[in-house]
Amino acid sequence: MATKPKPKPTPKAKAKASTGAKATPTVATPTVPAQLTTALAYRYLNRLTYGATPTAAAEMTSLGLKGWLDAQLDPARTEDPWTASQLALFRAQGMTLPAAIADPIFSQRRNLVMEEVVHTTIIRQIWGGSQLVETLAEFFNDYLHVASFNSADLYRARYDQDVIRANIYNTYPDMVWAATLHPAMMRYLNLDSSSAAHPNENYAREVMELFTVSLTAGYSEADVQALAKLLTGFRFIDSAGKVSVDVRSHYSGPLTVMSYSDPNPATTDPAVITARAEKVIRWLALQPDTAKAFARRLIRRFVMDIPDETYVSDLAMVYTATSGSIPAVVKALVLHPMFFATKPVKIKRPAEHLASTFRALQAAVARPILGSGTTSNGYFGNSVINDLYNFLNRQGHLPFNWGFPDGYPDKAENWTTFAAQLARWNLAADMVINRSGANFSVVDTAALVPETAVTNAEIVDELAQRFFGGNLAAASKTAVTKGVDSAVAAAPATKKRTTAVQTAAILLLSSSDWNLR
Amino acid sequence: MSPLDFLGHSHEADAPNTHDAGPNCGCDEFNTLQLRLNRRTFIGGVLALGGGILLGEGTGIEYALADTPVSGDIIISLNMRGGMDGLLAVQPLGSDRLRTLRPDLTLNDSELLQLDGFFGLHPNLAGFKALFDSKELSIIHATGIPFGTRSHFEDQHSLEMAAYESPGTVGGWQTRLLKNTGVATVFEGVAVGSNMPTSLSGDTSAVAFDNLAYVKLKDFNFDRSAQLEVLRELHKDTGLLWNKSAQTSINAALQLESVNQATTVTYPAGALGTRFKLLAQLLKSGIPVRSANIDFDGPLDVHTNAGNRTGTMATNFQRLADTITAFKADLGPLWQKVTVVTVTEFGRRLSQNAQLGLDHGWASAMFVMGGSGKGGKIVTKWPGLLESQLSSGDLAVTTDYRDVLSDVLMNRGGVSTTQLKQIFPNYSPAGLGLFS
Repeated sequence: MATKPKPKPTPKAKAKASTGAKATPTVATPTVPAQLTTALAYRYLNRLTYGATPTAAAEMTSLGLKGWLDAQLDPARTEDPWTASQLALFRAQGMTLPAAIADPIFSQRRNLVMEEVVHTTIIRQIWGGSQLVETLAEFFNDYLHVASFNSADLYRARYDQDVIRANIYNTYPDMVWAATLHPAMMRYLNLDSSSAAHPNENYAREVMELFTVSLTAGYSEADVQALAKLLTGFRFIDSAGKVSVDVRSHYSGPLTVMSYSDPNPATTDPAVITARAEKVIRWLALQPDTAKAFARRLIRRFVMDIPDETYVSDLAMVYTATSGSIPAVVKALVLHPMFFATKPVKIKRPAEHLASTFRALQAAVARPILGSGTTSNGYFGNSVINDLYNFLNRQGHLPFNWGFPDGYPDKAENWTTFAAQLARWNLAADMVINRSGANFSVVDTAALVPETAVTNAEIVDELAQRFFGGNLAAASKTAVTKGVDSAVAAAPATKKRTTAVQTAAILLLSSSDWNLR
Repeated sequence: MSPLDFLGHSHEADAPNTHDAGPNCGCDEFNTLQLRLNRRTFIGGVLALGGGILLGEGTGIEYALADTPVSGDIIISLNMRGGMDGLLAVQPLGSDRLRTLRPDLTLNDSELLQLDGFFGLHPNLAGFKALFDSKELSIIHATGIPFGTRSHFEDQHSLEMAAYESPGTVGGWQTRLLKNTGVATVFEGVAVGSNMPTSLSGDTSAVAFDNLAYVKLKDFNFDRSAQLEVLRELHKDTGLLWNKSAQTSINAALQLESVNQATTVTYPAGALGTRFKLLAQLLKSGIPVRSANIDFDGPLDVHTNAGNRTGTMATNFQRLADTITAFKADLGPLWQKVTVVTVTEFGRRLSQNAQLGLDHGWASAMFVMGGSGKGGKIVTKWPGLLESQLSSGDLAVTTDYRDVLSDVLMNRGGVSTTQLKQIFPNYSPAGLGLFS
């Protein structure tokens, strides 16, 4: 890279300084902390899942961090029964492509397939048991993003399942290759209409820039154009229900993409053309630049906005050594000194905020999740899922609804907005005082606090332990207690305890601590 | 081939067409070839910059309530995100070559709204034609960013940073406008949309929202003033970006409670109309907006079926012109105090593709609108459409978009020469005479 910005006090700089001096409490511990306390379990869970809860923290401390990772990434892991029963209400995810294409509703209204994926995603985030898989599914859906509300919608459920979720247990090159010839991606980035006479560069450009080597690799326009030609000829026709090769549309002749060359002689064999595409895509996905780009993106998602370069190199090494194994790199991400040494500095994105708030309050659905009224597609009326959908939509974070191929941004400045802050304060109050309509069960905040907690300070302590696992900043606790004191003083005698518990819950969930992970 | 396609007419490459555009100096310095040779180096610089911005520290912007009226127009950047085709919007007349390269994506000269005898406007931009005739709109053609990569992300980012000569600059160009022209206030920078754009990045007092109902601060079931006090207390450590922004959000929510939402004007359906309507409500209610960003509601990234008379782009143009027309009517006399300028990361390729779409290109057109009374100009150094005159097959950029922004900021934004140097560091804009 030609120029570097001036150094900022990134976590890396801090860690280096402290490692040298062996003096500050931020010193990196080079191995898994010997004692996995509840407080640490909360910190790691908030980073790796959609929000720590007392139950989840107990599970992690009992399994240990490595055991927890293995359990979460076990391909045989099954969904929690209630969540599974709710997911089963959605039709598209169980359908093959030909079935979805032939479906009388979906074929007419393609967006409904995509909207089902939005709904099932939100349900899994809040109520799902495979929480790490869920954060990874979101990560990879952003990485290999197929935006919603276009003709790719019809294929979106299979894309989510067959490209993203199925490959979380495999390698990233497997995932990129699966995405390349999936109709959702082919339609979104126009690979299915690229021909030798008119190569469409859209997919070739993004696969290099966003999905694999990235611009740091220093490739040229000619490389993009060569890759576009190498990927010509692939088609997806709904009536056939599968990807085919139009051999006459495939460009033939030698092509060079960076240091990769393919003589690419004329052929009439579709299998040969497909094999050439797979070979170049896998070559790109295994480049050292891809390893680094992958590591950087993963670290940015889970740990810090400005990835530490040593951390990046370490993970890139694991990536290369394992040919891009996703579970291996994810485990290396977690079992790394920088993971332990970094304080919560990530701002929760709206989806994480929503899910973590629901999880903390043990919010449950009070009505059938699909709603009861009949609408044009049979469900999605005034319903639980609609409320959740609208809440994320208003904050500009509806799953898959980012308008560009780079996926939702993942830095503090992107989500620290006026509208987001108001929406979050209002959500905390609406949920706790039960103003969010009849779709959710009343959050019985009183039940969250045992009778042994009597004074306002004790009530705040109990809830702080439940929401933050003991990690709440002292200043925040003081401010919350002061607010509770003020609210309780003004409340009638019969409502003092309810007021204390509700106000404490609202204020704790309105703090900046709640928005950091 | 029409003579207009090469160096004929008044549009000679080395005697640039200036129409009534006043001074046109420094053109020789714009050495496209040199710039493009340096492009790869430059991408690295921009990338490093993108990775290096840390917000919430040392942006030098402190929150304050506005106490003095601003001088200069309210500058509204209308971001045609996705890459707007400038040739379908403002088509050169009599160009057989253009019709050959994009037979399905051109219009007959007779269908175009006549401007100056060289260019014609898409008929769905009739609202713009009216503004052009009343000297409230000018057009700049063959304009764009100096180092195009044809990547949405890189080009959009560099467009909004607008600091090509100064990698390491913190904050987008609108943030630098705000920072260098007075006291930072809440609502000084407003993004009417759900996300904060790069052009307003680095300013934690800028706000982004798209619906008043969603930014109303609800009560917490206890005394309002106590609620506000504890919220402020909870976010008092303003070393943290989230907290600093929260202080702004609290005050902003209170200010918004006074916004008057009444209007008799009907805006076109869709997000663009909603956004401009909301901005008009803020301005009419006296919310002290200094600069705003509004994203066009697409789709402009027309890789397939761009359309000419009807279709995607025709619909886009209709909505664009109708929304601005409604905005002007809604603002009434306040229209005299705003300047709207469109920007886009790139234009589209000269040739249509097999799907009757247009891939990413380079130069496009910009519109500058407002009540200045100095409009009605078409400013271009027309590069020509012959193969040898194109840049990698695309219309070449001969006017840096910052020349347009500089003219707007200096003449309408109350920006001094010294301030402009801070807004576009190490860049010397060529005066275009847009407001002469």
